[in-house]
Amino acid sequence: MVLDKFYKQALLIRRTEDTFLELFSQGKMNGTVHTCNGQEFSAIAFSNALKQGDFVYSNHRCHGHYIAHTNDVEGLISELMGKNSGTCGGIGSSQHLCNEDFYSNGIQGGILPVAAGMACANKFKKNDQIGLVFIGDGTLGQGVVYETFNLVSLLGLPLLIVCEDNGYAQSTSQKNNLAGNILARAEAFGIKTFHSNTWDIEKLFDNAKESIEYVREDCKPAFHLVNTYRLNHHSKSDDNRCENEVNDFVKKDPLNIYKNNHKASFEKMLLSVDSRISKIVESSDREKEQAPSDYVKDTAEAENYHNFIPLEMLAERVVNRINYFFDVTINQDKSVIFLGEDVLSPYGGAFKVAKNLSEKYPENVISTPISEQAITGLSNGLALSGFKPYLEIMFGDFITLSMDQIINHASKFHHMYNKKVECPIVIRTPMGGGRGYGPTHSQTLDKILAGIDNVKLIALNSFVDPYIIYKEIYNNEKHPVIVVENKIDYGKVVGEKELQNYSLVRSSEGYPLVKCSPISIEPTLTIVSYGGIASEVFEVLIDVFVETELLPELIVLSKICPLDLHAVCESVEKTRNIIVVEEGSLEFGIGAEIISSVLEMIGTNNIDMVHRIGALPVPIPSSRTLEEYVLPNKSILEKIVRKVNI
Amino acid sequence: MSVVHEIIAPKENADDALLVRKLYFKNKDKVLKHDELLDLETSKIVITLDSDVEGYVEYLVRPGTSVWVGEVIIRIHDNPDSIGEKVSSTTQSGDASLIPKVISRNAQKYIQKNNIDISSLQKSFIKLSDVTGKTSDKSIKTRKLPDNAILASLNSETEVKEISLSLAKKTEIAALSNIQNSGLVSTIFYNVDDCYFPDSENLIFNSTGSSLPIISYEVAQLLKSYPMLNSYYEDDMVMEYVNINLGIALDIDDGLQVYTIKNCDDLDFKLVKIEISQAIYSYLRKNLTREQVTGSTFTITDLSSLGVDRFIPLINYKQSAILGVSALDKKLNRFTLSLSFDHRVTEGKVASNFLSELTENLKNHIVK
Repeated sequence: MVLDKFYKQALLIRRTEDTFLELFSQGKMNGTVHTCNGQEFSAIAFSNALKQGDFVYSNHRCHGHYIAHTNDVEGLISELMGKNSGTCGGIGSSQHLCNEDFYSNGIQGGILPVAAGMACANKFKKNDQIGLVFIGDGTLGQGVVYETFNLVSLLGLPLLIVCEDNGYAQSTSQKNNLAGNILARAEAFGIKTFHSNTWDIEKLFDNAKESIEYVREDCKPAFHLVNTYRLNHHSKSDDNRCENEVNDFVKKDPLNIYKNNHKASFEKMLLSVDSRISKIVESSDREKEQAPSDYVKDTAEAENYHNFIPLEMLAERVVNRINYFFDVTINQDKSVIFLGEDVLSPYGGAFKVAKNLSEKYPENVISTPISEQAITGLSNGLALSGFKPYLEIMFGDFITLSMDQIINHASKFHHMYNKKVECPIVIRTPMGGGRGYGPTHSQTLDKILAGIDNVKLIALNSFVDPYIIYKEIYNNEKHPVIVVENKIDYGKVVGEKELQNYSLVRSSEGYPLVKCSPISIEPTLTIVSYGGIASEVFEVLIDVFVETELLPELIVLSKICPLDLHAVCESVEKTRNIIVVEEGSLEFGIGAEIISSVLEMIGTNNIDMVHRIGALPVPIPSSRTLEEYVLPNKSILEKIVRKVNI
Repeated sequence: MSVVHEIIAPKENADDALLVRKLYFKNKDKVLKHDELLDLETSKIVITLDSDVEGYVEYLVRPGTSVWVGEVIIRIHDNPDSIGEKVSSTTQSGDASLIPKVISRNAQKYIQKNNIDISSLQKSFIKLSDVTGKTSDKSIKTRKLPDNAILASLNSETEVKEISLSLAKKTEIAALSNIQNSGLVSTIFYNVDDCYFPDSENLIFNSTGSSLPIISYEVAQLLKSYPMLNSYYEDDMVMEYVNINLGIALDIDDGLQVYTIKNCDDLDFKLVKIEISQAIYSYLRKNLTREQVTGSTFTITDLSSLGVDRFIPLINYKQSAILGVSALDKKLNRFTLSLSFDHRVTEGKVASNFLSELTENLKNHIVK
């Protein structure tokens, strides 16, 4: 027997969403809504069975789940009216909510691995808490769903995946976009399945409880399919379903049946619910929107005025120093998790960064399936739950598969959830060519990773000890960081650089820049570079002078985004000439950003020459001759001489 | 032969560089066959290299440094005396006179050609201007000449009779003789035919009958495609100007002056006309500033008002060409353009293409 209080809760959800549609018509809401009219009991049945501290991750159609889990109608209405008093200060609105253990995001499928990461955190914490993630049947078209099925089953994560199957993906009927059997999909991954619907609500409540108990007690994932029907449009004005079909479900709707069978009780409930909602709307209407200055607060990085110290030369390779960082850091802090493909000993990852780590710290090293998007999402979830995940993407080329998690999740969480959360995920990946690995294992995709809001891009080089850089990230970063490593640099000895008549110094901050300047004479050309190719620029500095009579000063950056060009500007003010050398293809690249920023900072009157050197805009060939032709690495000198002598 | 064997850094797995961990001997030590010589570390293992022969060891590497795969790292000699003391190529000395000098290619050539002793130069980086003693101009880009174009400069001597000259004339001679004395100046002529139509709107000649404004405008535009005519020759180098500063030679009543229209290629025709009017106005009022008469990179000299049929203009100091404009022959309906150019910088074909293109561009202004 389903209690009256659940009907009242369903009515509260329905009337709140009706109010949203009204507010939208009145122009009091910015943006759209997706209502769950007809599906409310799914939200209520599962939330009712959860325990305090269990989390819910929902999707674009999340109002019902939110109200059922938090009862925070006030925060929700204010949020959708764009007010600062809303759940997320009016930043996230309808699809991006965060309140205590409740989260939602509007990207189909991407929420699944994030929820898996949060469930993984619960498992690590051994706190007996579980997670629940709501998806729709339309989401089953996303590949990341199956990456996550595999992952949660493999890792045994306490996550209940509830698929609310309303038969439509936006306006397209399921028969036009879904093949095969839904339950069989989950079963194929060894995940236990449950099946309910929102018309037999007593069974729904029982099954919800049973599936949640299974997940908690067995510490395993489960998949719960709930057949349901949405009585409203997908969003607004996008419904082309047959009227008769909708009417059949209006009649079957449990809330409508209750209304017909318990008229007096229903009217009483309606009065109470509507009175609460109208009071909230009235008071929200008087609230203010967030001030722009509050929203962008703390987004600008402090400028560094560099203090330079001599470059340290360590008799150790770059790869060993990175490995050493993880060794000592995991030893001291068990919230550090090393994730990646093929990272278990004895293999220790494609470039051996994880050497011996899994033997020493088996709990802190997760060797994952080849599922870049899911493991990035898993890392995001761990980061949201207080862990410090360091994810290795085996080749930089594969990071394109992680981009949804980086751009639509990691980079957004902090701001769209109104600064309630932090997502300190660190993604490490090797870039660069020169080994004949060909078009998909040699790229330098840094320019695609630079300029993602709220994501820092760091590039290692063989001048500076990577330990310093990783320590800085570990100590101070609260937001996502991508670290580009270089395949060739792994084997190089840190700081082993000497050049006749040149001094080598680095700045003392956490992301040091390296300055290589002629001794006791003013340079006349500033060369800026970073990453692996910086060492190759270093090798030709003397020859640049011999061929061009311009005396170069080399500046090697570690922090690529956001750029800190104070030292570069200082140098260009002296030399009036700047050349930026990067290994990635030239157009719309890092060099373009550096040069335009320097021009803006010091003015065009103070510069005589600007040039960029980079790879040709074609896939990187495997053949040695062609690879050397396409990449700038082996022809830096020739290119600089040609540019200077134009 | 003293080296009996060379040992190179071997390729082990995918590493490109190997770290030198330990040397088992000192330089000049005697080693036997199968003696362990040194440890190299790859990212996976440490490997020890043995000697294949008996002899005296010379290490070309130090512990803690890395070496590239394929690099020679050890030599075995049959005689310890043939092994040099110095192992590494780095210089630790703080004595300035011992600082290795890096010499630019152009400076090297100059030093070789002129047998210059640079041992007294206390600079670590030596460029051409350090050995010629001339300072370089920041607005000039240097361009290396192709080898076949390097010719010995002529050491011509001009015999002169001593007579008194005005200071202005002395300055003019000094400025002009430098290049003309090279003996490598030629002049070519081009006729602009069918150019004057008194009864129609004719855009080559303005209301006062001068073609100077339109020629100046077209020359400045055309020079963008002929950088060699906007350059000069010095010390086996062609110095190419970055800007096009057009000099207009004025000699009305008060001596020769060259008024400079700075960055003339950036100006439209209307602005060029205004500049030339301003030049003549200032010349006649005798208030041309120093700024206005210096820094030209190419000159036009217009003798059309003097009725000159054709003439050979002289190239100005630190320039490579000059355009002469002669008077309109109304009977033949044509006038002559002459271009003198420095053969060390460019050649007849380029000069002739320039004049031919200029003539065509001028003719486009004629509305018949």
